[in-house]
Amino acid sequence: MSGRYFLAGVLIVVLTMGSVAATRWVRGMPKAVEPESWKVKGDPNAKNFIVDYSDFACSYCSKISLILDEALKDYPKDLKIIFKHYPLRMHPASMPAAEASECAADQGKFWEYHDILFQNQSDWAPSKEPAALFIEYAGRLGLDKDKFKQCLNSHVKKDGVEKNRLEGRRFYVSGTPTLILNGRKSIFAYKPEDLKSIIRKEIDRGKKR
Amino acid sequence: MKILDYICLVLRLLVGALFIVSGFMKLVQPIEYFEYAIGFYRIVPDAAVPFTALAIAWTELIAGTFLFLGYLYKPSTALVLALNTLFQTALAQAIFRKLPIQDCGCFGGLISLSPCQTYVLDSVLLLLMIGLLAVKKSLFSLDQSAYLR
Repeated sequence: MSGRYFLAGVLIVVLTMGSVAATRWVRGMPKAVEPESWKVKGDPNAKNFIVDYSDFACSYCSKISLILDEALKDYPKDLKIIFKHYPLRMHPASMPAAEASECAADQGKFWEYHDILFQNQSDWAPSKEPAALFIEYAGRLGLDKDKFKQCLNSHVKKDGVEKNRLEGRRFYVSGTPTLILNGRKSIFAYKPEDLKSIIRKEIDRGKKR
Repeated sequence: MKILDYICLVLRLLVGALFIVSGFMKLVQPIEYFEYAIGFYRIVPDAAVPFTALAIAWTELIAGTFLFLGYLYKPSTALVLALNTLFQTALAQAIFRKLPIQDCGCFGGLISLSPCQTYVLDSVLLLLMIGLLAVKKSLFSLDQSAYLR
């Protein structure tokens, strides 16, 4: 290999790295996920937060939701959960379920509806026409059924859910559940004990700071 | 023979450009985004995810650039082929395990492809790369430059 040939290789690598650095500098790096005062469970003033990109028809999401509830009980003052919709296309009933939860949110019962959807996932998720079940759940929670039905049938919530999904796409969310701890640390642990241990370590670290 | 040379040149540029775009898109966004995507495949230990994300993205970009320019033609083709095989393995296990992945996470926010679509794309790329490896010389490549020799 000649000296010129070697230098050409070095030059290519340097220019490639430079182009990445320059693009990042010009565009500015978008921030990782930030907290929002929306669909928050737990103490709104808690310093630590987990953004949960979730799909109501995803069985992993259902399990994770229970573990997150336990974590909230363990750290009532230090942790909050922020829910984001990420209905997967592989689950046809996910989008209507997300819309239904938003309709329930209009009547102040998002989290209750969230829980009822996960608890009854095996009933409505395989259904091609889950709307009747969604209305029944609304009735169980004492929601105004007519209002709920009108909201669900008009699909007024679809855009909002889609916005969540697009936001997730920007943050490279590619499946569910995606959990992002304190806006920067993604959690891949799906065993309850591992997830709890990660949360505990992060909270302890925050207290030491 | 000449036509075949030109076909190989076009394929080299195409495959190289694809890897350049793929690596570049990952690197101009916060690397955490690609880390999230890797995490979903559940094959890399948590502690190794940040390193793996950086290593894959930079390898894609630099090997893709080398291939595009025809620098170290054979080794760079072999490297992108190895990467492609790695991606196919990860995708195949994700499809087999029915992991809840909607988007392969291959092109940042640029293109959204499902694991199945990506697997098909990677299979086509694999064939193209094998073809490129079989070619001894590539037209208009830095390897053929008299100035650098």
